[in-house]
This record gives sequence, structure tokens and C-alpha cells, in this order.
Amino acid sequence: MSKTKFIFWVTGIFLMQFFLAEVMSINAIRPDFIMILVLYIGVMHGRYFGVLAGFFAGLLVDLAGVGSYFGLTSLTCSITGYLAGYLHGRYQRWVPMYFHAGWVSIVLVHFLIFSFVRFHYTFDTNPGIFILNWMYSFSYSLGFLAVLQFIIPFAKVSDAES
Amino acid sequence: MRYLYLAILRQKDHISLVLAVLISITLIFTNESRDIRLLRAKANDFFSVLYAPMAWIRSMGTLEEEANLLREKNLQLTLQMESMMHLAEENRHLRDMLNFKRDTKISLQPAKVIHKGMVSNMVSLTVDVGKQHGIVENSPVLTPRGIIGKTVLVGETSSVVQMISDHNFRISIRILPGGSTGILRWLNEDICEIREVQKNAAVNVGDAVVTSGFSDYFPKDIPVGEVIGIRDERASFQKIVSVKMHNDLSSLLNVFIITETADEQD
Repeated sequence: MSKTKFIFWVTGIFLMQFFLAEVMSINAIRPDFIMILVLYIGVMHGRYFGVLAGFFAGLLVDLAGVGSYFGLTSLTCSITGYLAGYLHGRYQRWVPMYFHAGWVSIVLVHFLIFSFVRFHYTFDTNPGIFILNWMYSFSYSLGFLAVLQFIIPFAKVSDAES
Repeated sequence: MRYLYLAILRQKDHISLVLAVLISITLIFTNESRDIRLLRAKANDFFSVLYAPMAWIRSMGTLEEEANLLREKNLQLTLQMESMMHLAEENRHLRDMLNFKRDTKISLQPAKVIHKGMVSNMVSLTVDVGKQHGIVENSPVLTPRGIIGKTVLVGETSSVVQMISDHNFRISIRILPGGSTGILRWLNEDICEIREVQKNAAVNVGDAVVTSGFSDYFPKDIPVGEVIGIRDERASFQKIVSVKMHNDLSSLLNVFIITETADEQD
């Protein structure tokens, strides 16, 4: 992917999150397009670029206005980018089911860390509600990722730029 | 030296992760640092320029609906005002009789919600007023229905509001008419919990929950919500009170910020 194309995608997704996340909000839960972007970058370019993209994209999200835990998004996105990097070039080498289970698990871990830090009072007092919150956030973004698999499948991008 | 350089190069993905995690954790633990707050306030001012057109489009879309609502409210308030003027006169007379000296007045700054954050759960708002409008950090933010949060970052022309739904937000409250006090924290959607209420406190479903006035930031008697459930905590001398907030946090367009609380001496 050329630098121009890369910058175009990053800017586009950031603006999408910036303007559309609120419109697509269901019961105060929004899709996380930034996490999706970081996941794709990790799968396409490996761990190093995954971490860099995750850290800087997360920092930008935090700078755009969070009430507390400034730095949490850069933390979760860096980890997501790193873990996604393990899937780089693996589609042909792994059983497809494991590959797909891999990225679904990464999304699950991303929202687990995020929800655990954000809602640890709920985790302590009412684990049922915590799990529901976690699952709602996870499922909403996973839905977008599932749709994206028909347009830009991970299977294709994983081995595209080894 | 060359070996070290090559080793770093070989392990750059792991090293970059460790660095990213360390920097992120440092940022999380230095949220209150003056430099970090300054950086965030500057960034927020910058982003508020981008939010402005979107906020304008949104406000245009709801303008007619809002105008109808305001007309209806205006009529209701005009009718209420008549009876309240009589009550105010009677109240003043009774206060004079009781020699009641203290009265609290608050100054409000109206603000428009221009953004609701980008993270996957809504925990903060950005409003279009800042230092230029007399806003300072930790100013209470409310709607006519009650408290919704407080300012945590104040830029020149915009501010970030930490909402009541943020895990870190706590507020000292009083349950009326019983008068029990406690600390309220958000639980889920529009439900909050108060955990520090004594078991023998007189609390009933439907009781009003208001700010206690013990806080340095929140004046007393501002509505917060209504009691919807009470349950005993096992092995504790306290009970847990569930509170439903009056505000729908997901549909806020306009808010008020308390800029000044003056204990006026009559």
C-alpha cells in the first residue's frame, strides 16, 4: 500500500469515527472503526506497524475528547495492533477456522480491556451487567467487521503484503 | 554496539509494544498533570472547530421540534409563574418572620453539546463554551431535569464534560424526604446506585434524590433522580439504593453550566 493511500485510509476512518460514531450509537454504544482500522493494519503489515498505528490512532481518539482515562484507547489499540500482527501472512498457513477465531478473539480482548477499565465498578458489583456491556460493544463492532469480510476479507489482506 | 542495534531492530515489534504500553499507562496515571491537561484542552479547542458544522446541522434538524416544545413549555411556565409569584411573596413573608438569612443563588451559562466523544461507550461530552465564557474546571453541568456531569477540561472556547455515566464520576447526594445521604455512582444505562446508606435509613421507592451540598463543586438540592429500588447488602450495615436518573444521557443537545454559586447574605 502506498503512503498516500495509507494516509487517505487513516484520515477517512478517523473522520468516519469522528462524525458517524455518534449517529450510529445504539443505547450509548458506538461502533469502533478505529479498532477495525488498527486490526486491518496489523493483519496487513504485521506487529510493528500494528502497534504504531494503534498507539497513534488511539492517542488521536483520546485527544479528541475523553472525560477520564486519557491514554486508555492508545493502550487497547496498541495491544490490538500487536496481536493482529500475529495474523499477518498466516491465512495460507493456518486452518481458516483458527485464523478467523484469532481475529474474533483479538476484538473480544480489545473490548474486554476497554470495558474492564471503564466499568470496573460494574464488574465488582454486578458482573452480569458488565458482561452485557462488554458483549454489546464487542458485538456491535464485530457486526461491522463481519460485513467488511464480504468487501475486504482478512483472508485476502493477510497474505497480500508479506 | 552494532549487535545491540541489530537486536533492537530484530525485536522492534516487541519493543514498540512495550514502549506503547508504558507510555499509555503513564498517560493514564498522569491524567491530572497540568501539562497533560493543557495539551488536552488545546487539542479539544482544535477538534471543536471540526465539530462545529456537524453540531450546526444537527441543531438545524431538530429546530422545528425544539421550537414546538419550547412554545408548549412557555405556556406551561407562564401558567405556573402566576401561582409561583404568589407563593414567592408568601415565602418571603414567612422567611422574614423566621429571620431566615441564607439564600443560595447560582449563575448559569447555557451551552450547546457539539460532540459526544469517539470512544465506544458514551462517557463524555464536548460543549461550545470555555474559559472565555467564564467556565472553570469542575463546574457542575445540568439540564432542567438535573445533574449530568461536571467539566474536567476547559479550553478557550470549548470544554469536556465528564458525564455521570463515567465510572470515575461520584456525587454526594441526599434522599428526600428522609434526608439520608450517600455517594451516587453510575451502574448501567440510566440507573445509578447509592451504597453508603444506613440500613435503618428511611428510604422509599419514589423518593427524590438531590445533591447534598457537601461537595465543593455541586450546590445543594439539584435534582439527580428518583429511587426505584432498595435492597439490603448482605453482611453489611448498609443498604443499596437504585436510582433512575431523570436525564436521558444519549439525547442531550443543550445543557447549562453553573459558573458561580453565591451564598447571598440577605
